[in-house]
Amino acid sequence: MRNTWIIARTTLGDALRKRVLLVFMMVAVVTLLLAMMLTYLTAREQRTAFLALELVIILIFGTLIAVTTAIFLIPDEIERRTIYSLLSKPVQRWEFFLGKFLGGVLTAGVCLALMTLVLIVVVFLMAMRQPESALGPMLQTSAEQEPLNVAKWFQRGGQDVALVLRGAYVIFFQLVLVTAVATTLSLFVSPTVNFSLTMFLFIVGQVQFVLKAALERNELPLTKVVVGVLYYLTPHFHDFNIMGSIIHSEVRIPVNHWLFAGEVSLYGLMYALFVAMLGILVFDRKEV
Amino acid sequence: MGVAVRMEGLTKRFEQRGAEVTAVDHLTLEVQEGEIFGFLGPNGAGKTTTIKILLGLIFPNEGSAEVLGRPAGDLEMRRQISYLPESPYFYDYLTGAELLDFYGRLFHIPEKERKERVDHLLELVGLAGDRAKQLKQYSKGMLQRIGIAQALINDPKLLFLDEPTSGLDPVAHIEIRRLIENLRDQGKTVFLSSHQLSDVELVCDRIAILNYGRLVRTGKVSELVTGRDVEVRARVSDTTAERLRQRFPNLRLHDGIAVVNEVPADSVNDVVDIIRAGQGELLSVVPQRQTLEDVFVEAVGMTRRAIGTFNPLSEAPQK
Amino acid sequence: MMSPEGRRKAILLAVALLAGCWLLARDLEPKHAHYVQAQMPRREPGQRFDPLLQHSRVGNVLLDETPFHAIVPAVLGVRELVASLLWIQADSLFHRGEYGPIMDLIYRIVAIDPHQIDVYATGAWHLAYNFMDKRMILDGIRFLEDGIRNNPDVYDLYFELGYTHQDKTKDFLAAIDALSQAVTKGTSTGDPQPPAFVFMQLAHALERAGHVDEAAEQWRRNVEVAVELEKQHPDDFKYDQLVYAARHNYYLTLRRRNERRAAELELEGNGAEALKRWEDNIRLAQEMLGHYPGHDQLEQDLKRAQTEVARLRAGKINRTPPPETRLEFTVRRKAPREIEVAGTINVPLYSRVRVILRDKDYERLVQENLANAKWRHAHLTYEFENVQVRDGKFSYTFRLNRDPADMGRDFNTIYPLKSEEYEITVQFDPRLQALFIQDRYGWNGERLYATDGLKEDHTLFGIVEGRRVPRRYLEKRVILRREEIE
Repeated sequence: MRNTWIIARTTLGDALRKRVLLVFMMVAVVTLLLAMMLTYLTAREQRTAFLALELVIILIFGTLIAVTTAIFLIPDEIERRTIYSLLSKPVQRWEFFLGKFLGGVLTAGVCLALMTLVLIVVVFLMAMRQPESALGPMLQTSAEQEPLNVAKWFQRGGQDVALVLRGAYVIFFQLVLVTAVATTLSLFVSPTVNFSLTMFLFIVGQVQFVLKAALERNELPLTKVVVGVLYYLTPHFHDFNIMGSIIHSEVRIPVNHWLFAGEVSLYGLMYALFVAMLGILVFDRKEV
Repeated sequence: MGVAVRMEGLTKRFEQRGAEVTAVDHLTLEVQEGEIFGFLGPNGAGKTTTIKILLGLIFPNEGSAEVLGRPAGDLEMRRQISYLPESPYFYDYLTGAELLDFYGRLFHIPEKERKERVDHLLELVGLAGDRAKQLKQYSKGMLQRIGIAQALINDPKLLFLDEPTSGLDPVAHIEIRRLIENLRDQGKTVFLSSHQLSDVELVCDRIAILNYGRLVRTGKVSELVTGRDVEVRARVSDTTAERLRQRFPNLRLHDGIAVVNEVPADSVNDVVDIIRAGQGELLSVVPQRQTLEDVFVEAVGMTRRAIGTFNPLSEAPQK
Repeated sequence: MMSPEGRRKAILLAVALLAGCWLLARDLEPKHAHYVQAQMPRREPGQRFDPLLQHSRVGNVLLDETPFHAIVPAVLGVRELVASLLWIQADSLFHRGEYGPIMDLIYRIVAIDPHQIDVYATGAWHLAYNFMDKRMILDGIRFLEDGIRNNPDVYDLYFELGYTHQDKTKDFLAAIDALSQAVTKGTSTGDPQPPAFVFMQLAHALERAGHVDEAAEQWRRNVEVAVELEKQHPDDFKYDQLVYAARHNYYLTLRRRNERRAAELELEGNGAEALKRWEDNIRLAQEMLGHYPGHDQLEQDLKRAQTEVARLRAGKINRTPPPETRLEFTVRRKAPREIEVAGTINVPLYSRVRVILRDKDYERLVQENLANAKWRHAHLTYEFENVQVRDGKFSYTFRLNRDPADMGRDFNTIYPLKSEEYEITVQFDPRLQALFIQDRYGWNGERLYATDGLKEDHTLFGIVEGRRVPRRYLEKRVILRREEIE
């Protein structure tokens, strides 16, 4: 396992230097800041619109970063022939594969962490806008005119930061899963095909719970079986979508949010490991 | 001394453009421990493919291979060997020292010892002053040298060097040759794959020549370059010279002295008989030396003749 | 390469992981369905958005119950984002004054994301107020009700509903119902208690509905709420003002209850009980002056109470009933679709009468077509105004030949005049009057006297000093045929 970690760290260093990653990161951060221009809305409208926008941006850019990193992890090693220097050392094939996968996960994780950090700071500052005045229409004051209640600000800000962290936590495990898929697929197909395939699986994974219902309407029992099997074999990306509960945190849902987040992240991790196992089994026999 | 590398009937086939190509064809070969073994052949001969099989990077279709008594690609074996690929490429964001440290970690060398080795190796290959530079700033020659350094990080028993002097100036060539000889003096085995026949001739103990995946010549360098042909000089009459020319058209005659080159060893007696019969005076009989290049070209040329047709798939796939 | 044994173990591990994933997926699915369900709008029973979905039985709740335009954002999990972006667009429409597409847009937005509280609040405000089409007040109300159905755990829309009822429909019981719920709910930022103004509004609504005892009790509680808030903001002067407002309103409610009841009691000849009320007013004024010494109005209240006490102690009881209130009016067609309603009513200056023009069976038609806004807007006509009375006279002209909001809309769409007959109603309701006017007639019209046009409603009763008091008001009606309007 030591070698896995050593390779992962080197992979992280290599991947973070790719310029395309920096471009993605810059775009993400700039968009984040642009969203702050929604200040003309009420405090609640601003928070809703901002969180809705930013969580989707972080998910999309995080996914793009994860996929564009993962599709090149192993192909680059083969193309640049650095893989010979590695596999001629006492590094087992599974260590190499896992090390590259883990390196991809760390890369996606670092980028996600940076985007989340920016989001957290902005969200915390946004929470300074007081949502409503206790005095309100009676004394014709707007919340903006009241002196800042620091304790309430920290309470609101703290709540929102916790919500964002839960969202980022769940997004992270989506990225782990996407990285696993792309890394394993990179053993079979070119980076271009890999990108399309992985993104396709990701999008299908988001919508398949609806497709399943639509397809199951078909009367043939065979279709039902096939659809059912495919449904449970392919990763359920839609289960990770809990953004509604973060954006509208006041809506009561009869689910323990953190337990659910824990469970879905476990699902993501296990599925990723399953896909990685497939990759390991294939890579073990792959000629380089 | 034992056997460092043993190949028996090693065969590797590839699919290329719909056709099957045999990159390594029933290769049977042994490399002894402690020797510098030269592995030669034109481009596409199967040299790199063979090395990759030995390292476990690719898998043979038939036959077997052992390295240091263990199956090819074995994990334990890889602890004791090292590989310098042709035109090596490394993670260019790392510095020279960091690269060596990285590879050192993969061998689980303890930190203190690793640091010492890194320092020593950087000195050895003349890169101590550039240790903090990122590899992307290294010249080709510097990259080659750091490649050699990484091949030594684990103090291996057996080194696979693929074109180690590629891109180096003549002075560096000499340094590398000396290094390789040093390694042999330390009891290490070096498996050297190279096009630089002059280097191979100077440094290798034994060689093998590969062409179209087949072993075409193997043996000690000293034996191979020592030719079987002989040069005969004699003072002869014109008649005798004419008789000799009929058998050896390349005879040169000057001032009554005939010189016949490339007389096969088994024909020398016949030549002497002709000279004696013509009452000539035998002046000298000298065995002729070949360069390795001669040996090489002859071996490769012979094979081409043996095959007869021009093979459009002349390059075995380099994977 | 792995050994065969190693390979076998790896395959087994992969299978075990897949099985684990399958088990987790099965457990996650129903739990995640809660998240999906929470994002879906709750509809009135039997109500569907889209006729197309009427017979949809896909078996997936999201597909079955999501209107077409919301399907893509719903399925991709970007409901909140799309709704927010549409709302930003709507906002720019508001600012540019393009009201046409607004209604459609806000319904769409809440179908996509039913938790956009501000869309409901602002949208309902536009419907009930901005469009100035009185029929749309009902649409605003229903929009807020929809909002409450989808956001039952925060105070905001309950408050908006209560306020809209109090201000526009004058259905004070509905206002109380909504505001009573509002005070029990928290805020969307997690505070367990709504802002103070919600409590204040409830007390006002109770008073308007004639539930005076409850109003007083609510003011008393409001004082506690205000004092608590003041403790939390010791350096903010505005919270001192809040405490003053609550206390003063409490005082005023009790004072008025005493005054008005005393007037009724005097009319009945019960001077002793009337005296008790005025003595209580002295106590109340002195108590308030204890909090706010030197307060001019309170000093005057005290003097007045003392004067009344002295009068009553001297046995001077006022048994003169107030004069009969007489309401008369005429209706005249000034021009096509211009109807003038002019009349007289002997009420004080700043009193208001409500003048209403609508289809004869308006209430029934509305109830029959409650869910069908399109039908109502195509067929029903409804306009009203609160007209000030000066020197006992009032006059108002219904102009059904122009857009009341001056937005260039076709007036036929606002006043379709599809019915055969229309009613013109003029109302004088003490409940709707300014407080100093109410002093004369009582909260519920207790001292409103009339022989012609007086209505008594025992369902919308008030409660004063524990007694049920029916709602009393003046109302007269005239029926016009369409030809008399057009």
